[in-house]
Amino acid sequence: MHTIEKTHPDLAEAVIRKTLPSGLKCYIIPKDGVRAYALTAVDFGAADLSYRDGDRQVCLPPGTAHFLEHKLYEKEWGDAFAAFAAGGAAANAFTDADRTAYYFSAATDFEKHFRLLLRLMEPPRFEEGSVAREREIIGQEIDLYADKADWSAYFRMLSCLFPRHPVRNQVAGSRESIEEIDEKILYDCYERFYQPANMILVCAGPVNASRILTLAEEAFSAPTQAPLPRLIPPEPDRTRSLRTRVQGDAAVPVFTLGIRVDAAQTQGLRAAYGFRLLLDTLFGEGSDFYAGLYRRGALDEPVGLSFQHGRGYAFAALSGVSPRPRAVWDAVWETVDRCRAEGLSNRDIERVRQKQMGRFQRGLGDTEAALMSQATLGLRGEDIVDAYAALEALGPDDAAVLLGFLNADDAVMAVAGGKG
Amino acid sequence: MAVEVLQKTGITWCFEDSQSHTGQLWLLFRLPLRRETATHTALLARVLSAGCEGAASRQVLARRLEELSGAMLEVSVVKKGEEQLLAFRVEAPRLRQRETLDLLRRMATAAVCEEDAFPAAVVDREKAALVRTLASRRDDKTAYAKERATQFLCAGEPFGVDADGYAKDVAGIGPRSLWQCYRRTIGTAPVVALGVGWDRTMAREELEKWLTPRPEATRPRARQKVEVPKAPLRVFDPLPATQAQLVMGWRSRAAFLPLLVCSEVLGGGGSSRLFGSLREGEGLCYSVGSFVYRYPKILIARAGLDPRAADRASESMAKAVAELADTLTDEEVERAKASLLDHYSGLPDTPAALADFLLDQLLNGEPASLEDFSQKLRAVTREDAAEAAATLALDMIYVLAERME
Repeated sequence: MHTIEKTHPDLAEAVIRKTLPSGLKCYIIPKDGVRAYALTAVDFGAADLSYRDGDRQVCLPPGTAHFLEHKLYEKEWGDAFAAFAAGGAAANAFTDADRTAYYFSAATDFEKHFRLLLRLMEPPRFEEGSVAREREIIGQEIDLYADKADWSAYFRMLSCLFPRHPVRNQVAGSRESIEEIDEKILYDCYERFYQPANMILVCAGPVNASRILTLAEEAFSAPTQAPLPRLIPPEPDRTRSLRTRVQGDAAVPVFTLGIRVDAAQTQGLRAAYGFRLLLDTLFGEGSDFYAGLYRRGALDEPVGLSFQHGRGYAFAALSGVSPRPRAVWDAVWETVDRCRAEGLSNRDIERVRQKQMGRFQRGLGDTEAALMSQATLGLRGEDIVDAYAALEALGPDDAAVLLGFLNADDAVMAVAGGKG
Repeated sequence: MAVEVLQKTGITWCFEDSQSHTGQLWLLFRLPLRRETATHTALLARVLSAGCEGAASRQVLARRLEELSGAMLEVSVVKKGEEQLLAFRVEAPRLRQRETLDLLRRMATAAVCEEDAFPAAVVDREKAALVRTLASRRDDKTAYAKERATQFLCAGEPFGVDADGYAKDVAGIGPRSLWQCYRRTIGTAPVVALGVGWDRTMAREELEKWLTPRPEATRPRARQKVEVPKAPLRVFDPLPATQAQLVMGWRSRAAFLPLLVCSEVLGGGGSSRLFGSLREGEGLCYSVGSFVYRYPKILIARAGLDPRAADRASESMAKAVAELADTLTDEEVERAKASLLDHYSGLPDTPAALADFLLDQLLNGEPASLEDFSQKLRAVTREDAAEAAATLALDMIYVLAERME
């Protein structure tokens, strides 16, 4: 297994890659600075609710990966989260649809905390009653997000856009689903998924790459189990165009408009960055779409834009606050139809591409942002240099092809607040 | 890290000379925080974002910034202590900094004008947007509860004024009065020009072309003495919500750094007392913590929880603070200091965070030096922290919830 160092003439940062004998993929971004970061991510997220284990199909309650994220810190030797804090490091973790990630940053004693991060990936040990207690805490977390209108609208959109795919579920599950999660489920999931071949390690900042690789190799020396196949129910071909309202309170309506796209045809960096370029050109701050809605009082601020893709799903999303979400919906499809008929402006695409390349370069200047970008890319075997190169290579033809994937029949707008 | 500070003709120049390829430049016009003018300034920030000479609309401005490799230039209001700052914040790659400063000059000095007034259509459009933005703030219950609690706690004091403005005050603002506010603010308000990773020579050269001399900022300002009532103010703020938001405020006369250490011990993170007791011990909440306002000195503890647990949690918080002075251990204080020092020492990695730190130091009349700050923080002893904790006087218990339980 060789160590590879990748660079790009536009980027101040290089990435060092190595896959260890255990299967753990390592990515290191050495950077000047004070604070060093390290992250481990497991290819097991909120959307992993069914997998094949030998002849068995195992189904999990929504919220399982997130619950395990909360409980992984509980070790036979004590509370790993408290151990980070005791050493003065800032530790945190998160779960999204596709992964669970654990990370810390420290201005001093990086190696001490890095060893702690490696030990964090060892098996948890739950004291009696601790899973029940954590259920209460997670219940409060679920309530916290229930009070966020944008979050409620986003997951309502997903649940309509994907009638079957588990990406439709809230990351933490529901108050009901977490009642089904017990110690056995958590131990089983740890055993099945917290395997080096199903994980990545990312470090960024003033770090010694060879030392990191040595320590990681020592920590993950045991033979590893191949990732288990996940089972995803097939989706119906079409979603049908839909606008839906979320119960709840918002002073000014909060909306998310999701557009499902063919997941099989839109995997890979070129599609991911191509969609971001297309969405920003069509609906971003400099677009005619935003200028028109702003003039009419239907949007005060630009919409948030994203493209998300994972195992068996892909969608574009526009989110924002509008007194007239219906006008936003109409303007989206008028814009798409007009661009289909008249073609995209090459000048607009190039301007937005320059902006995105500039922001990509500057984003890497922030060590934490560099870490998080690599953490997203690493589980797919990609890195920041690949991503920048993909963005750099994009042109009007890519945007024109991807425009064909945006169809009102595959779209849902969910709105929280407002009337009717 | 070397920071150069220079005070001249009402302008405080503060530049940090790192060579990062992205820089932050903040230009902050300092205004006293007053109810009578707060909404004007908040609206002004919106109107100035809507266009200027040579870039007469939001769209043209946005496109110009896209051409400058995605540089960012935003105008907003910032609340710092008893001041409201009209803030122009620029982020630009080194090679595009001069061009971005030219855009900043036009936004600050050459707003679109019609006969000594902003265009009425622009003002009306932004007034409607400001009213909606103010209304939308209640949709983020955690942030809203913190702001509301501060307003109740400091009612009648400058710090209790909402720097984002008041919906009720928007209607009374006209294009001409806003234009006068604009000319007065840009022409006479004391300024802080703050650069991190920015070419200081070029920045001063560009900014001095149009930043005219102005009165020096007056420091220290006359500050109100506030008596703490014998019984804390209890506020119930009814709002539809699944969770209740509990916010408690304690006044203090102590120095800032010992108070900061107290707050870190109390609710600064995963090893804090409140995290250990309310979350891990009693399972009452997911989100819990504390922080300190530097001026006026107020310690805030907060949690999002089941409405039925609000009373129990407020009792636990009050007890935790009351016990703090007598029970602080050396180990806790050292751990809190280590955590804070780790946080502050990492600021130079993030230009915006470093700029914010330097701004706080300047506005509080402290040296703009991370080294100086860290040295003073290191010197805080358990006795200092205990003394600070002993001054904490509970002044308010605020609960945002759908109904009283």
